[in-house]
Formats: sequence, structure tokens, C-alpha cells
Amino acid sequence: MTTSEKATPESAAHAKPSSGAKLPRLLKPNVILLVLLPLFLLYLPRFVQNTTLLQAISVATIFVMFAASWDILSGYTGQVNFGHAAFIGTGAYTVALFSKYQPDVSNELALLAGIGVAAALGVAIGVPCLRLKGPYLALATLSVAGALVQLTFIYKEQLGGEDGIAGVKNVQDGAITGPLGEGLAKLVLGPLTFGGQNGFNQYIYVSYFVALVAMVLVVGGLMLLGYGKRGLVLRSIQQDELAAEAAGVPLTRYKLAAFVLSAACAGFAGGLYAQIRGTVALDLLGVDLSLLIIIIAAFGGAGSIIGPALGAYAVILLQNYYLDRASQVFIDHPELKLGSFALLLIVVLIVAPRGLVPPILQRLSGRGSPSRAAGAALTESS
Amino acid sequence: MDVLVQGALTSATIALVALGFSLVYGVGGIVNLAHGSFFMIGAYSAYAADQAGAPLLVAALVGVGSAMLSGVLLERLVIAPIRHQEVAVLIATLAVAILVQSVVQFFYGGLERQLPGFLDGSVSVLGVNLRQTELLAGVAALVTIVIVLLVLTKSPTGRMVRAVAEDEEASVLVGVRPERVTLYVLAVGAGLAGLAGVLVAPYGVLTPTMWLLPLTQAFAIVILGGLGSIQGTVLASVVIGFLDRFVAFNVKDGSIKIGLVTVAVILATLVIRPQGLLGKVAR
Repeated sequence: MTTSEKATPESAAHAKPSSGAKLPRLLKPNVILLVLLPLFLLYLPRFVQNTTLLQAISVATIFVMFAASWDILSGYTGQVNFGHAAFIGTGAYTVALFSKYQPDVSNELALLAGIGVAAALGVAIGVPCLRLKGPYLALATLSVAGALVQLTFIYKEQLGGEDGIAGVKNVQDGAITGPLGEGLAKLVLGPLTFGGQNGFNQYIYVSYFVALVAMVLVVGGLMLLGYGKRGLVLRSIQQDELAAEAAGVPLTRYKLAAFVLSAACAGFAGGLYAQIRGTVALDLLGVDLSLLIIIIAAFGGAGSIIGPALGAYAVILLQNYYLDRASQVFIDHPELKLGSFALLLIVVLIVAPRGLVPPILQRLSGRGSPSRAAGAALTESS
Repeated sequence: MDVLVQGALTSATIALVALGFSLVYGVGGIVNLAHGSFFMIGAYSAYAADQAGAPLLVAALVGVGSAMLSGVLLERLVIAPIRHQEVAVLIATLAVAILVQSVVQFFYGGLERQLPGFLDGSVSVLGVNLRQTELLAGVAALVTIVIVLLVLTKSPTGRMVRAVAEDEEASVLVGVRPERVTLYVLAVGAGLAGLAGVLVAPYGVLTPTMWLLPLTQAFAIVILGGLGSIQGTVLASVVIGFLDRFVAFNVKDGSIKIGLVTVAVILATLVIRPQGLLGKVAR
């Protein structure tokens, strides 16, 4: 154990809302961020007309859900999942398959099915993995995701192999998502004209707002859970499984529940992403995506939900927007982006094993921030 | 018959990769997810040297050498600072694997490449037609494995390595430096994987993602054979090697299903017999 985690056993005491906190609970940086950030993002399109940037932000918003859903399992319980893309991809491919074979099924129903299939996969992987830890769990999850990639080649006709599936029904066509996105767009942008030469590109704005609402729901829910009593229990599993069990924590139930919840949220985000992109392909299933999520989480600070969430905005905006404008090299060789992030991850792991966000938040809020134990997932000694 | 002969050859090259992976885990407690990358570095370096006009034998040496060098660099720069944080090591080495992949992709693109054969012509073994270079690969791998096993069991160096694997603290007491041993073992393990990459390069294909299958297979072998058991590793290599060829020859689209079968082996072993074939029960 490094010195920074010596403090973690007492984090249980400090995480209680009242003890040791200098600020009223509502003014804590975490809570402020959770309210201000969505508001900021909600009104951003009013001032930023750059649609490329807005699209990049939509993707980043989706990735926030990927990272946060990874965090509730891996950052909290320490069961580090190296194949989170498996859950994302299952959600996305399920939605795409509905569009391909049952186009009459509504978008929302397809999304629900995506969540269900992803959650089922969560059970299927979670049960055999209950006893696994560290390297075993890592390689088991990594290889399951790898196996799913190969499935798309084996059922090439249905799943499209390398090409993926195009023509996924768009988020605009959803019975709920369509009006929701349009309504928010009208609210924020005022009376506007979609289409036409000077009009707004409706699809971009609808995607943007739907992604934002979904992100607030998912991340808000996960934060409520993570910062509450159940989050403490999940953390206790990471700290010391035996002690947690001795203290009466139903280990199996909690671990499996974390697995399924993580899978379901990832499946939802993956399905929504498919509806926003209109296509699914191997980049939603591959090792690269799983690693990108780990990079985001480690960068932001695993085990804090908010850390990975902010990390996602930083990394994805760099990847999809700023790097392309920084140098032509990144446009000609997109593979270098992931390479640079991998390099960044190695440096972060060595220099700042707790990530970047939790230490800053902790300083802002004084003691008593639940993010004290954050990052322990990645630095847990064997 | 095809399966038997080819399976034996595949087993030998796979074992070469798995042996290093297993040794590094046994000695340093390090699960090196960049181990498959040594295989790739070996193959691509040999390819690069060959393209630059070097004789094949020199190219092969370059391949093995650069794999070993990468092993040393990996240990010194990445693993050593975070050695006792198991999960951080996993993540960092996976990041290294992706980094290597993107660098290879940057220089060589996604196209499949191949090294010329070390020997031309073909031979017939037990009625099975083989390219001579395939046979050479199998034999060279087998000889190397035997040498490594002999060094491990008979020489003082091997005794030192086994001492660290068995009990790191006790080994310190008798004057062994575990950090040193870990570095050596990682370098040698990387060299073995690099050699496997060089040997396979004339008949396999080189792509930037070629690291994943050997890594998965090495992991399957180590799980199946039992962690830390060298005999188990060798035995499991044979199982996985034959399975590899059996699937490739007898299943429709077999070559893309190998990974799938390997994963099934991993999961089945973990559920049925977590300690592996020859592993000890207590961990």
C-alpha cells in the first residue's frame, strides 16, 4: 500500500455526510458540479454554433456513461473489468439488430431490449467471475469481449463482421427521444427552423440533448448510489473482502448486483450511441474501446464516478475534436490518438495513481469527501 | 494426421510464448499483458531488418534482440515503479500493448505482411507435406524449450529463479536479489516470445493486432497448466496447440474461431478446476 491510501480505512467514518465536512452538503464540489455541468452543457448550444464541436460533445457525453458505468463495478468494488466494451457492444448490436430485422419495434423498446441483453450478459459473465480477482478477472473479461468480436465474424451475415450494421433507426424517430430532444432544442435555442440552408441541423441538436438527459439520469443515479450507503458497502468489498463478509455484507449479491448494474447502464449507453450514430461496428466491441474506458477512468480517478465522468469529456474531446485540429498527423493516422492516450495512461499510473480529479475535489472540499478512497481500485496492492 | 503433425509444431511455438509468460508470473507475480507484443515485436523487427537487406539469420537475431530489449525497457520504465500494485501493472502493460500496436500500425499500416522462409522447399513428415521452414520453426522451438527447462532445473541460475518463484522473502535471505531476477526473467521471456514471433513470421501473417491471440493462448495455457507450474505450462501448451490446429482444420471458418475456443477453455478451467491441471490447490 502506498501512503496515499493509508487514509482509506477511515474513509468509512468520514463519508458520513455530517462528520468532518466543513461545507454544507449541498455546497460540496461534487454536488455543485453535478448541477452546474449539465446546466452549462444544456445552454452551450446557444452560444456555440460549431456543429462539429457539438457532435464531439455528444459523443463525449455518451462516453461519460460508459466510464461511469465501468466505475460503479470496477472503481468501487475493485473488480477491474477489462472488457467493458462487451456490455456496450451488446446493447448497441441488440438495438441495431432490431432495426435490421424488426424495424416496426419502437426505438425505446429496442433500447430496453439492449439493456436486458447487456444485463443478461452481465449475469453470464458475473457468475463465473465472482470468484476471480485481479489478473484472472482481467483476462477473463478481456477475452470474453475478444470472443464477442469474433462472433461478429462468424455470424457475418447477421452481425456484419468488419463492416458492422448500418441503418440503425435514428434517435430522432424515437417516440420519447425525438420530442424530448426537439423540445429541449426549442427551449434552449428559442424558435428555430430546422433544415433548409440556414436552418439548424435537427439531428445534431436532438442527439446532443437526448445524450445529455440520458447522461444526467445515469450518472446522477450512479452518484446517488455510489455516495450513499450502498457505495460504502461496495467500497468495503474492495478494501477487504473477508472483513466485509464478516461484517455481514452479502458479498455475492452485492458483487453480482454491481456487475449487472454496470452492464445494464453500459448497454443502455451503447444502444443510445447506436441510435445517435446510425451504425454499429467493431469499435463498439473491441479491446480498444475497453482500454479507452480504463484510460478515461484512471485519468479522471477511478472510484469517484465524477472523476471518470470529467475524464471522459477531456479525453473524448481531445480524441474527436482538438487533436484533429492540433496536427495533421492525427488525421492521417488516427491510431496514434489511442497510442498517445495509452502513453498518457502509463504516465498517470506511475505519477498520479489516484487520477487527477479526486485530489483536486478533495482539496476544494476539505475532509470528508467520499472520493477519499477514489483511485484505490488501481493501486490496490496484491 | 495433419492435426497431429501440425499440432505438434504449433504446440512448440505456442509453448515458447507461454513459457516466458508463465515464468514472469511465477517469479515476479507479474501478469504481463504486453507479453504478446514481444511476439509481435520479434516478428516485425525481423521483417524490418529483412526489408533493409539484412541476411535472414541476422534479421532473426535482430528480432529476438529487440524483443529482449523491449522486455528490459518494459521492466525498468513501466513495471518497476508500480511493481507491487497488481491491477496497475495489468492496466499499464495493456496500455503498452496498445501503444506498440499503434506504433506498428503507424509505420506499417494494417496490411498483412510476411517474412521469407528460412528454408525453401517442403518435406514430408509422416505423410504430411510441410514447408521446411515450418518444420524448422517447430524443431528450433522445441530445442529452445528443452534448453530453457534444463537451465531452470539443473543450473545455479535456474535454482535462483525457482527460489524467487517459491518464496521471494526467503530468497532474499539466502542472497538472491529478486528485482534482478525478475528483470532477467522478463528479458529472457521476452526473447523467447520474440523468437516465436520470428519463427512463425514466414508462415503466419504479420498484422498490428497479432499480439492478442498469442497472449490469450499463453494465458489459457497458464490457467490450464496451473499457475507457476512449468511442467503444467508445457503440458497445457500441447493441449492448446493441438486444439488450435484441430479447430483450424475441422471446423468451418476454424482459423477465426481459435480465439473463441481458447476463451472457452479459460472459462471452463476457471469454473471446473481453478487450480489448473498440475497446479497446487492452495494459492
